[in-house]
Amino acid sequence: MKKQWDTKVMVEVAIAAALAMILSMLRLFRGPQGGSVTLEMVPIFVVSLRHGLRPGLWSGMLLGLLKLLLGAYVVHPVQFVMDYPLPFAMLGLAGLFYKRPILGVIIGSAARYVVHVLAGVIFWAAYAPEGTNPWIYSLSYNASYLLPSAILSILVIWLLSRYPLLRRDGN
Amino acid sequence: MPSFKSITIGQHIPGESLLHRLDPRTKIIITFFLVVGLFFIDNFWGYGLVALYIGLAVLLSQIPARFLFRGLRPVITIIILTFILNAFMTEGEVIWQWRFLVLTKDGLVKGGMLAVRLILLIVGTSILTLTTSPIALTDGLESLLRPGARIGIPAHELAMMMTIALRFIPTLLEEAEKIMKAQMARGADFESGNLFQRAKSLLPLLVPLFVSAFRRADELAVAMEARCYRGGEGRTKLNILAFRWVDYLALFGSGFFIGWLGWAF
Repeated sequence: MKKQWDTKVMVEVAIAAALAMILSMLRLFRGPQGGSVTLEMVPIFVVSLRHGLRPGLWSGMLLGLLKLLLGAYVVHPVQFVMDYPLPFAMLGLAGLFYKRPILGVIIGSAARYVVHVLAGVIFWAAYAPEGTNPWIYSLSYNASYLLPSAILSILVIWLLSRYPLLRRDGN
Repeated sequence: MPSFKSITIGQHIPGESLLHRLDPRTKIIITFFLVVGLFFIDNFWGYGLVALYIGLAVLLSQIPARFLFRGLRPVITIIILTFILNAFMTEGEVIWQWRFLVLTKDGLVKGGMLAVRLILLIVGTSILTLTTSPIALTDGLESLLRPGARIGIPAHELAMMMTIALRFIPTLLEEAEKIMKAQMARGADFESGNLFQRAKSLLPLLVPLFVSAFRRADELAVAMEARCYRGGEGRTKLNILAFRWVDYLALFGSGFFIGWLGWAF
């Protein structure tokens, strides 16, 4: 039987998710409402750029699941999928652009932002009174921590691109 | 200030209580019922019964209440905001008015109910992570996802990666601390400057951390393959999950209770 997963890639995906989890604890700046600016996305981008789309998606999803298992806020049956595994998995889209890492980071971060915004809208649709506009709140709240995080990730990936680390199957 | 001090990983509090010893699958399924069930309840009687149910679970888990309330602290603003927004923006019987601020009776009830629902959701779900270790949760998740293997859900691989990640979080954390100290001894400055200078100053931490993490990954993969690891097919386990009679009791009892609550309230 053909093996579906290369052991080395699988282990790297797992360890990158662990690294991301550690970096998510290293807050560079904490926003007023819980969102914090961190470099947590960088390891996921690194794996995506090294190994492509599928390992990237899994690594991101793994990060989301780790966050869930280590204590997360579940306030809605749909929100927990849209706030944890899904947005982080989106970061793996960077794997499609391994020849242009910066573009990949931008696309990945943007996709994560879209999913978080939708999750926020679903949450507020269930909890906010009628007449408030959930889009404005969700768009601005999620941008408040994701935009700086994304800019920092771009900066770091750009600085890292001098090293063989980001090369396809490099070491 | 970036610092790894005062970091606790996860919320799990080890123990030997009835709830700790329940099969993780039982607890995952019941928590899922609870999250969905709470959305079908829309009056205080129903929430009161859920609160009693959660209270009973807390008693059985022998977890000090302060751990449950600690989980609420970061979301307290959202809970208060939900209450206030609903109290003032719902139309209905006016009880208090000041210029554009209109407090209605319906708003108070609705805001109160949503705030209670949020609190019950957060406390209810945190019982799961408080009483179940991440590894046990991973085992449970793998077992629950296994039927999905036919439609392409890689249950085994996912669980294996989770286990590796959980195993390596403390190791990598220690490594990160060591590298940080080593770079500080060479004069690196992680604590001053604006956001960008600080991110840039993290590079002497990130590069060695990545290199050593990927080296570890490589070594682990070689070690696994040397021991003939070749995926989930035919792999056996040391600890096999098995439902006991309390699991069936908890599962069916909670299932019927929450189902009834959702239907009746």
